[in-house]
Amino acid sequence: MKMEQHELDDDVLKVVLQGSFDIEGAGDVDMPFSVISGSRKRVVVDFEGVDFLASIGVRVLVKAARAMGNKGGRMAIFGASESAAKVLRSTGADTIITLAGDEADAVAAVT
Amino acid sequence: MRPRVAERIVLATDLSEVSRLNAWLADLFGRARPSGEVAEALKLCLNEIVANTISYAYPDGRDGRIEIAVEPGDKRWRVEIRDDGAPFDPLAAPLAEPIHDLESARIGGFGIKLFRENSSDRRYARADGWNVLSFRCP
Repeated sequence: MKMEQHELDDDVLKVVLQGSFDIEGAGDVDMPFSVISGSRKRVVVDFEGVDFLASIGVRVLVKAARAMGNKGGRMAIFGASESAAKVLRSTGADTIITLAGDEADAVAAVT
Repeated sequence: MRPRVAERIVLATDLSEVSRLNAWLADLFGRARPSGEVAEALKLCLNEIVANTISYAYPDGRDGRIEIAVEPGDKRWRVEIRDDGAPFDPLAAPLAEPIHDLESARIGGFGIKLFRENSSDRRYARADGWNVLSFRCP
């Protein structure tokens, strides 16, 4: 799974993911997400390029969102497919990670 | 006319095998062309069950074997998964409570819940040292 990071205004970090968030994809981005959650409080994740989300991917996202939330930060996801959004809702991850329709809404949710 | 013969793959108990499983599924979906609903449910169920089996069914570290048979259907596909690991009935396992808030947020344990939400006609048996799980998707 590929990950790119882009600095936005207001100290917001945009993380762009590309590929399958299966066990292999989760292994690729687990450490980078840990680093991000340890140093940032406002993160939006572009999910448009994510074609599959398994529970191992939810684990990575929730771990990062919880670390950010515990220091007053917030994570938002935008561009999620209906199947990925269904997984996030089913696990309740959407209660601590905002599911936004587009990048502007995601940025608004974390600032 | 869609193929009715069961498609099969045998996996070793190494987490890298999940990638081989997903490549096999992509090839199968390309040939049998299931609906989006079937494809999404099937891929999710197989990923969750196989990852769970590889991670927890062989605590002694021995090499194991996971046999998967998938039978395409018009609306629902039938799946059978056999493994020679420790006895585990995913139909009897307690389901993880969904996350409600930041304080109580657990970071894992959702695989069995997602499997059960995306499958039907689930059956489990322990036979001759094998876990035998069958279900339909969705």
